[in-house]
Order: sequence, then structure tokens, then C-alpha cells
Amino acid sequence: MGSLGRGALSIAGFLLFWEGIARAGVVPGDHFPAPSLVVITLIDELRRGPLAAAFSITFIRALAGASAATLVALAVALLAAWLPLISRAFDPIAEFLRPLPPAAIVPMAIFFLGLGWKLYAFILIFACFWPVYLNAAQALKATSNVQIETARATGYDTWEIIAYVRLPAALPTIFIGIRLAAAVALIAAVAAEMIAGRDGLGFYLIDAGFTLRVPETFAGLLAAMVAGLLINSLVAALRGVCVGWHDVMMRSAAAS
Amino acid sequence: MTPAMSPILRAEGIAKSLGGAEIIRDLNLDVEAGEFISLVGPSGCGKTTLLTCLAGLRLPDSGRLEFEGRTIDGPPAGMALIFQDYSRSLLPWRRNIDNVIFGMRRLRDLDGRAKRALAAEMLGAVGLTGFETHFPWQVSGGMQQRVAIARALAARPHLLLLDEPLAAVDAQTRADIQDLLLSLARRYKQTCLLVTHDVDEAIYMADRVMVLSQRPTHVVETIRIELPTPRDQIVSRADPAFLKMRERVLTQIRSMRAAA
Ligand SMILES: Nc1ncnc2c1ncn2[C@@H]1O[C@H](COP(=O)(O)OP(=O)(O)OP(=O)(O)O)[C@@H](O)[C@H]1O
Ligand SMILES: [Mg+2]
Repeated sequence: MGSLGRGALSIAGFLLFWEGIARAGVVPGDHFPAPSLVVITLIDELRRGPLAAAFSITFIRALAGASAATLVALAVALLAAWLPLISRAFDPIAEFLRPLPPAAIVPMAIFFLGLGWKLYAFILIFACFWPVYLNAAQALKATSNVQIETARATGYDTWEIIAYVRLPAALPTIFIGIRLAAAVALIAAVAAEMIAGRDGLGFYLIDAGFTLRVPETFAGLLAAMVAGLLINSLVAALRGVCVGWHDVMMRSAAAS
Repeated sequence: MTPAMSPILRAEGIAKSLGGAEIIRDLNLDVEAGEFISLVGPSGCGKTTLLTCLAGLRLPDSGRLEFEGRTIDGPPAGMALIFQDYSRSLLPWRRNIDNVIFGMRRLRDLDGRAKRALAAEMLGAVGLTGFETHFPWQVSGGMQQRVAIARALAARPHLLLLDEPLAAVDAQTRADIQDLLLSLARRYKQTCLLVTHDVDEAIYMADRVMVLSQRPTHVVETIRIELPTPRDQIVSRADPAFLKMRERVLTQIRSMRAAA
């Protein structure tokens, strides 16, 4: 049996177990709906609109935020690779800011940025910047000297070496950062929405939860999970296009 | 004045220190166009440092370094370098043919298509037809070495610098690649400067062998190799002249060791 089949089987088993517990009434049914009810609610909510809107707002926020943060982080890391002075000036600031949990700055950010897109742009770029920047800066520094010297002897200048040697060599590590950023993006978006309390999956969940609409709460949870899976597979697809060679190389090294 | 009268490469009294250690002192050498030169020297004497200076990757602290009549102040056009660590010098995300194309940075007047055709031709010249779309890590060490050679030759350099290119391959592959290099050098009238610590290899390959001293290194002796060309792994190495020159180089190296 393929790994896909095995995965489907274990998920089916889990859902059956859940359904069984809910039906047997081990936990009060009002607070613990059966998966069948959750799925029915999910479809119903999606059709009526509020959950669909919340889902797409959050998904787009997370995706746009992670993408923008990735581009900004790569730009800074490339500049730092070009001029070590930039990295020396920036890294202490990074050490100072990085430990801040993104959710903790939401209340402050609301003062300055309101409840609109600027708030989310700020929070998401702040949250997703670090994993990409730190991985990229470290990997760009670690390029093999032989590769750089070969390129120099061949006539490539500093920027060409960054573009043709250092960046491609760093991409596998950069994608570790991008994968982290994608996960953090959804967390940060949902947390900010919960605090800002206006729209998105975070608000939907808080709203449904506080008004004790239990099936809706579970449906929102399921929608958040789908958003996470969707973002993960987008990153995986992009990674396959950019650094597929690396996976094949690692696999063939492991096989031999 | 015919071109043969002025050397393609000339080093006059160059010196180089690295991290406070004196590596090269008062080193002189001349390379004529079309020559195959071997540089032998004890390990750690500064051979790689010398090559990186010749390639313009490092500037000497003093002395004059000229390539084709011009002072070397950075990596000059018309030179290519194959590193000792050739397999790590290949770019693992590029297929073999794209690694060869990477060597063509200075061929500005060729378009992408012409570069690809030339790269395929160079891979053919080193016996790698059929491996163009493999990645370097999908082929053997000897084949990686050939890719590195094809990449270095792809830019049609006037001078090819080789830093112990055969130290890491097995004996049979080494003999094969020695003969491959000699035939390529003849076919493209390629001037070559080969660094090695293998005295037999130095003599077998070269028109002239230069013997380097211990650190701080300089050329202590230049020996013209009067062996018939093309060389042959069995015949040339059994030639009495080969044995005599081998004795001379080894004696020179031993006397340097005794003096050190
Ligand atoms: N950056 C550096 N700083 C200080 N010393 C160095 C540096 N690079 C090399 N050396 C020293 O300089 C000497 C010559 O090094 P080099 O690599 O040029 O020798 P080599 O003849 O090529 O050696 P090998 O036979 O091992 O290839 C060595 O003793 C080495 O330890
Ligand atoms: Mg060396």
C-alpha cells in the first residue's frame, strides 16, 4: 500500500474514533460535535457566506504577508551579502527585535495602523521576516570558497557571483526559512484577527466560540487547517521548482 | 618581433605573505606560448598560493606579474584555472553542460545557442558525450574532473592553470586524464601550467619542469624535457632520458630537504 493510502486509512480511523466518542456521549455532545456534524456545518457555513469570506480573507492575508516578507528578507540578506557592513549594522537590531512574539505587538500596532490592511501587512511582515532573513543571511555567508574563486577567475563580478553562485547555493536553506515563514504567517494572521476583532478566520473563531456556537467553531478550525495545508503545498510546489535538484541529490546520496 | 619571443606569462621577483607567514619569496618564471610547464614542489610549499597569484585572485606583495604583456591586477581574460578541489568547484544545481556554459562568461559575442553547442563540443572532447544533462553529483570523480576541464577549456583560454588536478583520482583514471590533457593541449595549442607533487607526472606531461623550493618558495631549477612527443604512458616512462631526468629532479628535491 502506498504512503498516500496508509495516510488516508489512519485519518479515516481517527475520524471514526472521534465520531464514536461523540455518539457514545462520553463528552457532552453540545461541546463536542461529531465530525459528520462539523462537516455538514462547514459546508453549510461555506454556502451561507461568512465562513467562506473569513477563510479567503485570512488565506490571502497569510499568503500575501509571507510573500512580501520573503521578498523583503531576501533583499536585505542579499544587500548584507554584498556589503558586510549592512549585516554588522543590522544583526544587533535583529537580535533585539526577533524574540518579540508578533501577537504581542498587535495592540500597539493598532494605535498607529488602525484595523485595516496596514496592520496586517506590518504584523505579518514582522513575523515572517526573521526566519527567511536569518536562514538566507547565514546560507549566503556559507558559500564554498572554491565556487566563489572559480567564478572570480572566470570573470564574474561581485553581483554576478551573488546571483549565479551564492543565491542558488543558499536556496535550499532559504526554503527552510520560507517554510517556517508560511507556518508563522497563518498563526500571526489568525492571532491578529482575534485581537483586532473585525474579520477573518481569527474573528470568526472568537465570535463563534464566545457565543457557544460549537459546530461553527469546529468548522472554523477545519477551515484554518485547510488554509494551512494549502499554504504548505504552495510552498512545497515552489520549492520543487526552485531546488528540486537538491532533493534528488540528497536522495541519491542517501541511497548510495 | 614574433610572439614566441615574449613570454605569455612572466613573474619577476614576486613575494607573498599570508597571515604573517612568508609563502613566496623572490620567485621568477617565464612561460612561452604553446608550452606545457610542470611545477613540482613539496607539499605545503605554496603551489596553490602561487597559482592564485598568477590567476589574479590574489595580488603579490611585491615583484612584477605580467600576462600577455599586461600587469596582472585581477583575474585576467584569457586565463582559466582548475582547482585542486575540482569536484567542489562544480555547481551542483547546474547540469554538466550548464557547468561548462558557466565557464564562458567572457565569450560575450556568443549567443545562448552557440554557447550550448560549444559546451556540447567541449564535453565531447573530454569524452562525456551522453552525460550533458547529468548533474555533476550523478557522475564519477574522474568524470567530474573532465567536466571541470571542459569548463576551463570552454572559454578558449590562452593559458590554462591546473592545480594538482589528478591528486584525488585512481591510478588508471589519472593516466587516462593525463593523456586526455596532453591531446587537448596539442589539439588546441593550449599553453598549460600544471602544478603537481608527482615527479613522474611532472616529467611525463611537460616541455619544461620547474622545481620549487620549500617555503618561502621560489623556482630553484628549470629542466627542459627532451622526450619525443606525443608521449606514451609505457614508452615515454621507460625512456632512459625519462629516468635520467627523474633522477635529477628527485636529487634536487632531496638536497633541498637535506638543507631544510
Ligand atoms: N590564508 C592563509 N594564512 C596563513 N597561512 C596560509 C594561508 N593559506 C595558506 N597558508 C599556508 O601557506 C602554505 C602554502 O599553502 P599552499 O596551499 O599554497 O601550499 P601547496 O603547496 O599548494 O600545498 P599542497 O601541496 O597541500 O596543495 C601552507 O603552509 C599553508 O598552511
Ligand atoms: Mg595546493
